[in-house]
Amino acid sequence: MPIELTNVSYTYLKGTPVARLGLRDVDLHIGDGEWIAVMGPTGSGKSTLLQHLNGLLKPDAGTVLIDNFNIHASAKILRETRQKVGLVFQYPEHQLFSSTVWKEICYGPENFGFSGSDVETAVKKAMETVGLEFTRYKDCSPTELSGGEKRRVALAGVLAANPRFIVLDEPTAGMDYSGIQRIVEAVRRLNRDRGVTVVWVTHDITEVVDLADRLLVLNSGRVEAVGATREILADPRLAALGLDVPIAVTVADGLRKKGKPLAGYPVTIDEIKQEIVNLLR
Amino acid sequence: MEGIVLGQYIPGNSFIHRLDPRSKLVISIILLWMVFLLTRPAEFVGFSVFIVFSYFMAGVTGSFLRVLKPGFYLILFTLTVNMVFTPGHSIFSLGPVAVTREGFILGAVIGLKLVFLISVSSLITLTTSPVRMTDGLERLLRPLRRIGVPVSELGMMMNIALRFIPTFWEETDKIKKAQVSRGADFNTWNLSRRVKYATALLVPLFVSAFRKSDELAVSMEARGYSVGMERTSLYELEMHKRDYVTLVVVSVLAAVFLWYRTAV
Repeated sequence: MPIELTNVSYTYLKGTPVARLGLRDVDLHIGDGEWIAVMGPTGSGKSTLLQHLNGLLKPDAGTVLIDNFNIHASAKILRETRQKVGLVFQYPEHQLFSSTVWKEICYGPENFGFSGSDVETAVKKAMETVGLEFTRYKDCSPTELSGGEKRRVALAGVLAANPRFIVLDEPTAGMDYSGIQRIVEAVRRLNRDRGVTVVWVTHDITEVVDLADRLLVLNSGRVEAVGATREILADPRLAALGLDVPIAVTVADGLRKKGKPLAGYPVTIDEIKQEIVNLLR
Repeated sequence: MEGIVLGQYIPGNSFIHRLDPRSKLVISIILLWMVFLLTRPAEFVGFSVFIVFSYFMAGVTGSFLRVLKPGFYLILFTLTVNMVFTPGHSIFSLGPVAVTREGFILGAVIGLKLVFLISVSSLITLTTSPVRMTDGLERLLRPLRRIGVPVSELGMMMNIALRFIPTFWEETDKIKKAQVSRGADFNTWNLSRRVKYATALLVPLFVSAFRKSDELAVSMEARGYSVGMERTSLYELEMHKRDYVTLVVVSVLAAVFLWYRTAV
Protein backbone atom coordinates (compact mmCIF):
# COMPACT_ATOMS: atom_id res chain seq x y z
CA MET A 1 0.00 0.00 0.00
CA PRO A 2 1.46 3.41 -0.93
CA ILE A 3 0.11 5.20 2.16
CA GLU A 4 -0.63 3.10 5.18
CA LEU A 5 -1.46 4.47 8.62
CA THR A 6 -1.82 1.90 11.37
CA ASN A 7 -3.22 2.78 14.79
CA VAL A 8 -1.82 6.28 14.62
CA SER A 9 -2.32 8.36 17.77
CA TYR A 10 -0.99 11.80 18.51
CA THR A 11 -1.39 14.20 21.44
CA TYR A 12 -0.31 17.84 21.30
CA LEU A 13 1.90 18.99 24.21
CA LYS A 14 1.87 15.52 25.67
CA GLY A 15 2.60 15.36 29.37
CA THR A 16 1.64 18.97 30.11
CA PRO A 17 -1.54 20.30 31.73
CA VAL A 18 -2.61 21.74 28.36
CA ALA A 19 -2.31 18.46 26.43
CA ARG A 20 -4.81 18.27 23.56
CA LEU A 21 -5.86 15.26 21.55
CA GLY A 22 -4.80 15.27 17.90
CA LEU A 23 -5.51 11.79 16.58
CA ARG A 24 -6.67 8.56 18.17
CA ASP A 25 -6.16 5.09 16.64
CA VAL A 26 -6.40 6.17 13.03
CA ASP A 27 -6.20 3.38 10.46
CA LEU A 28 -6.10 4.54 6.88
CA HIS A 29 -4.96 3.02 3.61
CA ILE A 30 -4.68 5.09 0.48
CA GLY A 31 -4.00 3.44 -2.87
CA ASP A 32 -1.82 4.70 -5.71
CA GLY A 33 -3.60 7.25 -7.87
CA GLU A 34 -6.52 7.47 -5.51
CA TRP A 35 -8.26 10.76 -4.69
CA ILE A 36 -9.49 10.92 -1.13
CA ALA A 37 -11.48 13.84 0.25
CA VAL A 38 -11.39 14.63 3.98
CA MET A 39 -14.07 16.40 5.97
CA GLY A 40 -14.51 17.02 9.68
CA PRO A 41 -15.52 19.71 12.15
CA THR A 42 -12.95 22.21 13.47
CA GLY A 43 -10.45 20.48 15.73
CA SER A 44 -11.32 17.02 14.43
CA GLY A 45 -7.71 16.30 13.49
CA LYS A 46 -7.66 17.05 9.74
CA SER A 47 -4.52 19.17 9.81
CA THR A 48 -2.89 16.82 12.31
CA LEU A 49 -3.54 13.91 9.96
CA LEU A 50 -2.05 15.77 6.99
CA GLN A 51 1.09 16.65 8.95
CA HIS A 52 1.64 12.97 9.69
CA LEU A 53 1.67 12.12 5.99
CA ASN A 54 5.01 13.82 5.33
CA GLY A 55 6.52 13.39 8.75
CA LEU A 56 6.10 16.90 10.15
CA LEU A 57 4.55 15.26 13.18
CA LYS A 58 5.70 11.96 14.57
CA PRO A 59 2.95 9.72 15.94
CA ASP A 60 3.04 8.90 19.67
CA ALA A 61 1.83 5.42 18.78
CA GLY A 62 1.30 3.54 15.54
CA THR A 63 3.15 3.76 12.24
CA VAL A 64 3.01 5.71 9.02
CA LEU A 65 4.27 3.73 6.02
CA ILE A 66 4.80 5.34 2.62
CA ASP A 67 5.69 2.86 -0.11
CA ASN A 68 6.21 0.30 2.67
CA PHE A 69 8.87 2.39 4.43
CA ASN A 70 8.34 3.64 7.95
CA ILE A 71 8.91 7.33 7.29
CA HIS A 72 10.57 7.93 10.66
CA ALA A 73 13.02 5.05 10.26
CA SER A 74 15.90 7.32 9.23
CA ALA A 75 16.65 10.94 8.34
CA LYS A 76 17.22 9.87 4.72
CA ILE A 77 13.82 8.20 4.37
CA LEU A 78 12.16 11.21 6.02
CA ARG A 79 13.81 13.51 3.48
CA GLU A 80 12.75 11.33 0.58
CA THR A 81 9.24 11.29 2.01
CA ARG A 82 9.12 15.09 2.11
CA GLN A 83 9.91 15.12 -1.61
CA LYS A 84 7.49 12.31 -2.44
CA VAL A 85 4.62 13.81 -0.48
CA GLY A 86 3.86 17.43 -1.37
CA LEU A 87 2.01 19.25 1.40
CA VAL A 88 -0.01 22.38 0.60
CA PHE A 89 -0.99 24.25 3.76
CA GLN A 90 -4.03 26.45 4.21
CA TYR A 91 -3.47 29.85 2.60
CA PRO A 92 -0.18 28.69 1.05
CA GLU A 93 0.35 32.14 -0.50
CA HIS A 94 1.34 33.35 2.98
CA GLN A 95 4.60 31.42 2.76
CA LEU A 96 5.88 33.09 -0.43
CA PHE A 97 9.21 34.85 0.16
CA SER A 98 11.11 35.28 -3.11
CA SER A 99 11.43 38.32 -5.32
CA THR A 100 10.31 36.48 -8.45
CA VAL A 101 7.92 33.67 -9.29
CA TRP A 102 10.81 31.74 -10.85
CA LYS A 103 12.93 31.82 -7.67
CA GLU A 104 9.94 30.94 -5.55
CA ILE A 105 9.11 27.80 -7.50
CA CYS A 106 12.79 26.80 -7.75
CA TYR A 107 13.06 26.63 -3.97
CA GLY A 108 11.65 23.13 -3.53
CA PRO A 109 13.50 21.35 -6.35
CA GLU A 110 16.77 23.09 -5.38
CA ASN A 111 16.41 22.02 -1.76
CA PHE A 112 15.80 18.46 -2.89
CA GLY A 113 18.99 18.56 -4.95
CA PHE A 114 17.64 18.67 -8.52
CA SER A 115 20.30 19.52 -11.10
CA GLY A 116 20.14 22.86 -12.96
CA SER A 117 18.35 21.64 -16.07
CA ASP A 118 16.01 19.43 -14.04
CA VAL A 119 15.01 22.44 -11.97
CA GLU A 120 14.03 24.35 -15.10
CA THR A 121 12.01 21.46 -16.51
CA ALA A 122 10.28 20.94 -13.17
CA VAL A 123 9.42 24.63 -12.77
CA LYS A 124 8.06 24.87 -16.32
CA LYS A 125 5.97 21.76 -15.85
CA ALA A 126 4.60 22.93 -12.49
CA MET A 127 3.68 26.36 -13.85
CA GLU A 128 1.97 24.79 -16.82
CA THR A 129 -0.01 22.47 -14.53
CA VAL A 130 -1.40 25.34 -12.47
CA GLY A 131 -2.09 27.44 -15.58
CA LEU A 132 0.59 30.12 -15.19
CA GLU A 133 2.26 30.92 -18.50
CA PHE A 134 6.02 30.49 -18.00
CA THR A 135 7.40 33.42 -20.03
CA ARG A 136 4.73 35.81 -18.79
CA TYR A 137 4.95 35.07 -15.07
CA LYS A 138 8.48 33.85 -14.36
CA ASP A 139 9.98 37.31 -13.69
CA CYS A 140 6.96 38.77 -11.92
CA SER A 141 7.19 39.55 -8.22
CA PRO A 142 4.63 37.48 -6.30
CA THR A 143 3.47 40.67 -4.58
CA GLU A 144 2.19 42.05 -7.91
CA LEU A 145 -0.09 39.08 -8.48
CA SER A 146 -3.73 38.64 -7.54
CA GLY A 147 -4.72 36.42 -4.61
CA GLY A 148 -5.67 33.54 -6.90
CA GLU A 149 -2.43 33.78 -8.87
CA LYS A 150 -0.39 33.87 -5.67
CA ARG A 151 -2.04 30.71 -4.48
CA ARG A 152 -1.29 28.99 -7.78
CA VAL A 153 2.35 30.09 -7.51
CA ALA A 154 2.46 28.52 -4.04
CA LEU A 155 0.85 25.35 -5.38
CA ALA A 156 3.38 25.24 -8.23
CA GLY A 157 6.13 25.66 -5.60
CA VAL A 158 5.05 22.37 -4.05
CA LEU A 159 4.41 20.59 -7.35
CA ALA A 160 7.86 21.49 -8.72
CA ALA A 161 9.48 18.87 -6.49
CA ASN A 162 7.56 16.26 -8.51
CA PRO A 163 5.66 14.71 -5.61
CA ARG A 164 3.83 11.43 -6.21
CA PHE A 165 1.37 12.26 -3.47
CA ILE A 166 -0.18 15.64 -2.94
CA VAL A 167 -1.88 16.60 0.28
CA LEU A 168 -3.91 19.81 0.36
CA ASP A 169 -5.43 21.55 3.39
CA GLU A 170 -8.51 23.46 2.20
CA PRO A 171 -6.79 24.61 -1.00
CA THR A 172 -9.82 26.63 -2.13
CA ALA A 173 -10.56 28.48 1.12
CA GLY A 174 -11.55 32.10 0.56
CA MET A 175 -11.39 31.93 -3.25
CA ASP A 176 -13.94 32.97 -5.85
CA TYR A 177 -15.58 30.50 -8.20
CA SER A 178 -13.12 30.79 -11.09
CA GLY A 179 -10.16 30.56 -8.68
CA ILE A 180 -11.60 27.37 -7.21
CA GLN A 181 -12.09 25.93 -10.70
CA ARG A 182 -8.47 26.61 -11.65
CA ILE A 183 -7.10 24.90 -8.53
CA VAL A 184 -9.43 21.91 -8.93
CA GLU A 185 -8.51 21.64 -12.60
CA ALA A 186 -4.76 21.71 -11.85
CA VAL A 187 -5.07 18.93 -9.29
CA ARG A 188 -7.45 16.98 -11.54
CA ARG A 189 -4.83 16.97 -14.30
CA LEU A 190 -2.14 15.78 -11.89
CA ASN A 191 -4.36 12.99 -10.72
CA ARG A 192 -5.79 11.89 -14.06
CA ASP A 193 -2.79 12.42 -16.35
CA ARG A 194 0.09 11.61 -14.03
CA GLY A 195 -1.53 9.32 -11.49
CA VAL A 196 -0.65 11.55 -8.53
CA THR A 197 -2.44 10.46 -5.36
CA VAL A 198 -4.53 13.26 -3.84
CA VAL A 199 -5.63 13.92 -0.26
CA TRP A 200 -7.98 16.91 -0.34
CA VAL A 201 -9.34 18.50 2.84
CA THR A 202 -12.44 20.56 2.19
CA HIS A 203 -15.51 22.18 3.73
CA ASP A 204 -17.41 22.16 0.46
CA ILE A 205 -17.53 18.65 -0.91
CA THR A 206 -19.44 19.67 -4.06
CA GLU A 207 -16.20 21.06 -5.57
CA VAL A 208 -14.63 17.59 -5.80
CA VAL A 209 -17.58 15.20 -5.52
CA ASP A 210 -16.98 13.68 -8.96
CA LEU A 211 -13.22 13.53 -8.53
CA ALA A 212 -12.87 12.04 -5.06
CA ASP A 213 -13.00 8.25 -5.03
CA ARG A 214 -13.52 8.13 -1.30
CA LEU A 215 -14.55 10.45 1.49
CA LEU A 216 -13.00 10.29 4.94
CA VAL A 217 -14.86 11.89 7.83
CA LEU A 218 -12.92 12.70 10.99
CA ASN A 219 -14.40 13.57 14.34
CA SER A 220 -12.53 14.19 17.63
CA GLY A 221 -9.35 12.67 16.21
CA ARG A 222 -11.02 9.44 15.12
CA VAL A 223 -12.18 8.10 11.77
CA GLU A 224 -15.96 8.57 11.89
CA ALA A 225 -16.66 7.18 8.42
CA VAL A 226 -14.79 6.31 5.26
CA GLY A 227 -16.08 5.01 1.95
CA ALA A 228 -17.41 5.89 -1.49
CA THR A 229 -17.98 9.66 -1.53
CA ARG A 230 -21.66 9.75 -2.39
CA GLU A 231 -22.63 6.98 -0.01
CA ILE A 232 -20.83 8.60 2.92
CA LEU A 233 -22.47 11.93 2.08
CA ALA A 234 -25.90 10.36 2.39
CA ASP A 235 -25.06 9.29 5.95
CA PRO A 236 -27.17 11.38 8.37
CA ARG A 237 -24.28 11.46 10.87
CA LEU A 238 -22.55 14.14 8.76
CA ALA A 239 -25.20 16.77 9.39
CA ALA A 240 -25.20 15.80 13.06
CA LEU A 241 -21.48 16.64 13.19
CA GLY A 242 -22.30 20.12 11.91
CA LEU A 243 -20.60 19.62 8.54
CA ASP A 244 -21.66 21.47 5.43
CA VAL A 245 -23.82 18.87 3.76
CA PRO A 246 -24.82 19.91 0.21
CA ILE A 247 -28.42 21.06 -0.01
CA ALA A 248 -29.15 18.37 -2.62
CA VAL A 249 -28.18 15.66 -0.12
CA THR A 250 -30.53 17.14 2.49
CA VAL A 251 -33.38 17.29 -0.03
CA ALA A 252 -32.70 13.70 -1.16
CA ASP A 253 -32.70 12.60 2.47
CA GLY A 254 -36.08 14.26 3.00
CA LEU A 255 -37.51 12.60 -0.13
CA ARG A 256 -36.27 9.18 0.98
CA LYS A 257 -37.84 9.64 4.39
CA LYS A 258 -41.14 10.30 2.62
CA GLY A 259 -40.76 6.97 0.87
CA LYS A 260 -39.85 8.30 -2.56
CA PRO A 261 -37.51 5.97 -4.45
CA LEU A 262 -34.35 7.72 -5.64
CA ALA A 263 -32.07 6.21 -8.25
CA GLY A 264 -28.69 7.37 -6.92
CA TYR A 265 -26.98 9.67 -4.43
CA PRO A 266 -27.55 13.20 -5.75
CA VAL A 267 -25.07 15.82 -4.51
CA THR A 268 -25.28 18.73 -6.94
CA ILE A 269 -28.28 20.89 -7.73
CA ASP A 270 -28.49 19.46 -11.26
CA GLU A 271 -28.55 15.92 -9.97
CA ILE A 272 -31.33 16.53 -7.45
CA LYS A 273 -33.25 18.39 -10.13
CA GLN A 274 -33.02 15.35 -12.37
CA GLU A 275 -34.17 13.07 -9.54
CA ILE A 276 -37.19 15.28 -8.86
CA VAL A 277 -38.05 15.43 -12.57
CA ASN A 278 -37.85 11.62 -12.66
CA LEU A 279 -40.14 11.36 -9.64
CA LEU A 280 -42.71 13.66 -11.21
CA ARG A 281 -42.78 11.75 -14.44
CA MET B 1 7.73 23.69 18.72
CA GLU B 2 4.08 23.75 19.43
CA GLY B 3 2.28 25.90 21.97
CA ILE B 4 3.99 28.40 24.15
CA VAL B 5 3.62 29.35 27.75
CA LEU B 6 3.22 33.09 27.71
CA GLY B 7 5.30 34.60 30.50
CA GLN B 8 5.38 32.82 33.80
CA TYR B 9 1.87 33.51 35.00
CA ILE B 10 0.30 30.67 36.95
CA PRO B 11 -3.43 31.28 37.39
CA GLY B 12 -4.61 31.04 40.96
CA ASN B 13 -6.81 32.62 43.58
CA SER B 14 -4.42 33.21 46.48
CA PHE B 15 -4.23 36.40 48.51
CA ILE B 16 -1.26 37.53 46.43
CA HIS B 17 -3.04 36.71 43.17
CA ARG B 18 -5.98 38.85 44.21
CA LEU B 19 -3.91 41.89 45.14
CA ASP B 20 -4.22 44.79 42.75
CA PRO B 21 -1.32 44.80 40.25
CA ARG B 22 -0.51 48.37 41.31
CA SER B 23 0.02 47.33 44.94
CA LYS B 24 2.15 44.41 43.79
CA LEU B 25 4.31 46.67 41.63
CA VAL B 26 4.82 49.19 44.43
CA ILE B 27 5.53 46.47 46.99
CA SER B 28 8.04 44.79 44.68
CA ILE B 29 9.86 48.11 44.24
CA ILE B 30 10.10 48.50 48.04
CA LEU B 31 11.33 44.92 48.41
CA LEU B 32 13.89 45.22 45.61
CA TRP B 33 15.22 48.40 47.22
CA MET B 34 15.49 46.55 50.54
CA VAL B 35 17.53 43.77 48.91
CA PHE B 36 20.25 46.28 48.07
CA LEU B 37 20.47 47.41 51.69
CA LEU B 38 20.86 43.94 53.23
CA THR B 39 24.21 43.44 55.03
CA ARG B 40 23.97 41.40 58.26
CA PRO B 41 23.44 37.62 58.31
CA ALA B 42 20.26 38.02 60.39
CA GLU B 43 18.81 40.31 57.71
CA PHE B 44 19.52 37.71 55.04
CA VAL B 45 17.82 35.02 57.09
CA GLY B 46 14.86 37.28 57.73
CA PHE B 47 14.46 38.12 54.08
CA SER B 48 14.76 34.47 53.03
CA VAL B 49 12.02 33.50 55.47
CA PHE B 50 9.84 36.28 54.06
CA ILE B 51 10.39 35.10 50.46
CA VAL B 52 9.65 31.46 51.26
CA PHE B 53 6.56 32.51 53.20
CA SER B 54 5.30 34.61 50.26
CA TYR B 55 5.83 31.75 47.80
CA PHE B 56 3.87 29.44 50.09
CA MET B 57 1.10 32.00 50.43
CA ALA B 58 0.84 32.39 46.65
CA GLY B 59 0.87 28.62 46.17
CA VAL B 60 3.66 28.81 43.59
CA THR B 61 6.45 27.07 45.52
CA GLY B 62 6.73 24.51 42.71
CA SER B 63 7.95 27.24 40.36
CA PHE B 64 10.64 28.58 42.69
CA LEU B 65 13.57 26.63 41.23
CA ARG B 66 12.27 27.02 37.68
CA VAL B 67 12.31 30.83 37.85
CA LEU B 68 15.87 30.79 39.23
CA LYS B 69 17.11 28.57 36.41
CA PRO B 70 17.82 31.32 33.85
CA GLY B 71 19.85 33.22 36.47
CA PHE B 72 21.77 30.17 37.64
CA TYR B 73 24.87 30.73 35.51
CA LEU B 74 24.99 34.43 36.38
CA ILE B 75 24.90 33.54 40.10
CA LEU B 76 27.56 30.84 39.65
CA PHE B 77 29.74 33.26 37.64
CA THR B 78 29.43 35.98 40.31
CA LEU B 79 30.35 33.54 43.05
CA THR B 80 33.40 32.19 41.18
CA VAL B 81 34.76 35.56 40.08
CA ASN B 82 34.46 37.02 43.58
CA MET B 83 36.01 33.98 45.23
CA VAL B 84 39.03 34.15 42.99
CA PHE B 85 39.65 37.85 42.55
CA THR B 86 39.05 39.23 46.03
CA PRO B 87 42.26 39.67 48.01
CA GLY B 88 42.35 38.30 51.58
CA HIS B 89 43.06 35.17 53.61
CA SER B 90 43.43 32.19 51.37
CA ILE B 91 41.29 29.16 52.29
CA PHE B 92 42.69 26.81 49.67
CA SER B 93 44.34 27.16 46.30
CA LEU B 94 44.22 25.32 43.00
CA GLY B 95 47.62 25.91 41.40
CA PRO B 96 48.02 29.66 40.93
CA VAL B 97 44.35 30.35 41.72
CA ALA B 98 43.70 31.11 45.37
CA VAL B 99 40.24 31.19 46.89
CA THR B 100 39.97 33.72 49.71
CA ARG B 101 37.62 33.78 52.66
CA GLU B 102 36.64 37.38 51.97
CA GLY B 103 36.00 36.52 48.34
CA PHE B 104 33.82 33.58 49.27
CA ILE B 105 31.70 35.71 51.59
CA LEU B 106 31.40 38.54 49.09
CA GLY B 107 30.45 36.12 46.30
CA ALA B 108 27.87 34.41 48.48
CA VAL B 109 26.36 37.76 49.52
CA ILE B 110 26.05 39.01 45.93
CA GLY B 111 24.82 35.61 44.75
CA LEU B 112 22.16 35.56 47.45
CA LYS B 113 21.08 39.10 46.57
CA LEU B 114 20.68 38.01 42.94
CA VAL B 115 18.51 35.11 44.11
CA PHE B 116 16.40 37.58 46.11
CA LEU B 117 16.04 39.99 43.18
CA ILE B 118 14.96 37.21 40.83
CA SER B 119 12.57 35.63 43.29
CA VAL B 120 10.87 38.92 44.24
CA SER B 121 10.28 39.99 40.64
CA SER B 122 9.23 36.47 39.65
CA LEU B 123 6.71 36.32 42.47
CA ILE B 124 4.94 39.25 40.81
CA THR B 125 5.00 37.80 37.30
CA LEU B 126 3.95 34.38 38.61
CA THR B 127 0.84 35.79 40.24
CA THR B 128 -0.23 38.54 37.83
CA SER B 129 -1.57 38.00 34.33
CA PRO B 130 0.29 40.04 31.68
CA VAL B 131 -2.83 42.02 30.85
CA ARG B 132 -3.44 43.05 34.47
CA MET B 133 0.23 43.88 34.76
CA THR B 134 0.12 46.34 31.86
CA ASP B 135 -3.13 47.81 33.20
CA GLY B 136 -1.43 48.30 36.54
CA LEU B 137 1.63 49.90 34.98
CA GLU B 138 -0.54 52.17 32.90
CA ARG B 139 -2.42 53.38 35.97
CA LEU B 140 0.77 53.85 37.99
CA LEU B 141 2.36 55.91 35.21
CA ARG B 142 -0.78 57.97 34.60
CA PRO B 143 0.58 61.11 36.33
CA LEU B 144 3.27 61.24 33.64
CA ARG B 145 0.59 62.23 31.15
CA ARG B 146 0.80 65.76 32.56
CA ILE B 147 4.29 66.07 31.09
CA GLY B 148 3.19 64.67 27.74
CA VAL B 149 3.99 60.96 28.06
CA PRO B 150 1.35 59.00 26.06
CA VAL B 151 0.79 56.53 28.89
CA SER B 152 -2.43 54.87 27.73
CA GLU B 153 -1.07 54.49 24.20
CA LEU B 154 2.04 52.82 25.60
CA GLY B 155 -0.19 50.52 27.63
CA MET B 156 -2.21 49.68 24.51
CA MET B 157 1.01 48.93 22.61
CA MET B 158 2.21 46.63 25.35
CA ASN B 159 -1.12 44.81 25.45
CA ILE B 160 -1.14 44.35 21.69
CA ALA B 161 2.44 43.08 21.75
CA LEU B 162 1.59 40.54 24.42
CA ARG B 163 -1.61 39.52 22.66
CA PHE B 164 0.25 38.80 19.41
CA ILE B 165 3.08 36.70 20.78
CA PRO B 166 1.09 33.44 20.57
CA THR B 167 -0.29 34.43 17.16
CA PHE B 168 3.15 34.96 15.70
CA TRP B 169 4.39 31.83 17.36
CA GLU B 170 1.71 29.85 15.54
CA GLU B 171 2.47 31.68 12.31
CA THR B 172 6.19 30.90 12.65
CA ASP B 173 5.41 27.26 13.27
CA LYS B 174 3.18 27.10 10.21
CA ILE B 175 5.63 28.81 7.85
CA LYS B 176 8.49 26.71 9.16
CA LYS B 177 6.53 23.53 8.54
CA ALA B 178 5.58 24.70 5.06
CA GLN B 179 9.22 25.36 4.15
CA VAL B 180 10.37 22.07 5.71
CA SER B 181 7.80 20.38 3.47
CA ARG B 182 9.58 22.05 0.55
CA GLY B 183 12.88 20.52 1.59
CA ALA B 184 14.28 23.20 3.93
CA ASP B 185 16.44 21.92 6.77
CA PHE B 186 16.57 24.49 9.56
CA ASN B 187 19.11 22.48 11.54
CA THR B 188 21.82 22.25 8.90
CA TRP B 189 25.39 23.18 9.82
CA ASN B 190 26.02 24.74 6.42
CA LEU B 191 25.97 28.48 7.14
CA SER B 192 25.02 29.79 3.70
CA ARG B 193 22.16 27.29 3.43
CA ARG B 194 21.05 28.26 6.89
CA VAL B 195 20.88 31.91 5.90
CA LYS B 196 18.79 30.92 2.88
CA TYR B 197 16.38 28.94 5.07
CA ALA B 198 16.15 31.80 7.56
CA THR B 199 15.12 34.12 4.70
CA ALA B 200 12.36 31.73 3.72
CA LEU B 201 11.06 31.95 7.28
CA LEU B 202 11.61 35.63 8.11
CA VAL B 203 10.29 37.22 4.92
CA PRO B 204 6.83 35.62 5.13
CA LEU B 205 6.76 36.28 8.88
CA PHE B 206 7.42 40.00 8.41
CA VAL B 207 4.91 40.21 5.57
CA SER B 208 2.34 38.59 7.83
CA ALA B 209 3.20 40.90 10.72
CA PHE B 210 2.69 43.96 8.52
CA ARG B 211 -0.54 42.60 7.09
CA LYS B 212 -1.88 41.77 10.55
CA SER B 213 -0.97 45.15 12.03
CA ASP B 214 -2.60 46.90 9.10
CA GLU B 215 -5.77 44.87 9.56
CA LEU B 216 -5.74 45.49 13.30
CA ALA B 217 -5.26 49.24 12.85
CA VAL B 218 -8.17 49.41 10.42
CA SER B 219 -10.43 47.38 12.69
CA MET B 220 -9.50 49.51 15.71
CA GLU B 221 -10.27 52.68 13.79
CA ALA B 222 -13.54 51.21 12.59
CA ARG B 223 -14.51 50.77 16.22
CA GLY B 224 -13.69 54.36 17.05
CA TYR B 225 -10.21 54.10 18.53
CA SER B 226 -8.18 57.23 18.17
CA VAL B 227 -4.90 58.23 19.72
CA GLY B 228 -5.08 60.64 22.65
CA MET B 229 -8.71 60.14 23.60
CA GLU B 230 -9.91 59.24 27.08
CA ARG B 231 -10.66 55.52 27.31
CA THR B 232 -12.43 53.47 29.93
CA SER B 233 -11.85 49.79 30.45
CA LEU B 234 -14.19 46.84 30.82
CA TYR B 235 -12.46 45.62 33.97
CA GLU B 236 -11.55 48.64 36.07
CA LEU B 237 -8.76 47.96 38.52
CA GLU B 238 -9.99 48.40 42.05
CA MET B 239 -7.99 48.86 45.24
CA HIS B 240 -9.50 46.82 48.05
CA LYS B 241 -8.97 46.81 51.80
CA ARG B 242 -6.39 44.01 51.41
CA ASP B 243 -4.35 46.24 49.10
CA TYR B 244 -4.21 49.13 51.54
CA VAL B 245 -3.47 46.81 54.47
CA THR B 246 -0.65 45.05 52.60
CA LEU B 247 0.84 48.34 51.42
CA VAL B 248 0.80 49.72 54.96
CA VAL B 249 2.28 46.53 56.46
CA VAL B 250 5.10 46.39 53.92
CA SER B 251 5.84 50.12 54.28
CA VAL B 252 5.94 49.81 58.08
CA LEU B 253 8.28 46.80 57.77
CA ALA B 254 10.54 48.80 55.47
CA ALA B 255 10.48 51.79 57.83
CA VAL B 256 11.31 49.59 60.84
CA PHE B 257 14.15 48.06 58.84
CA LEU B 258 15.52 51.52 57.97
CA TRP B 259 15.18 52.74 61.56
CA TYR B 260 16.95 49.63 62.85
CA ARG B 261 19.73 50.16 60.32
CA THR B 262 20.36 53.74 61.46
CA ALA B 263 19.89 52.98 65.17
CA VAL B 264 22.23 49.99 65.49
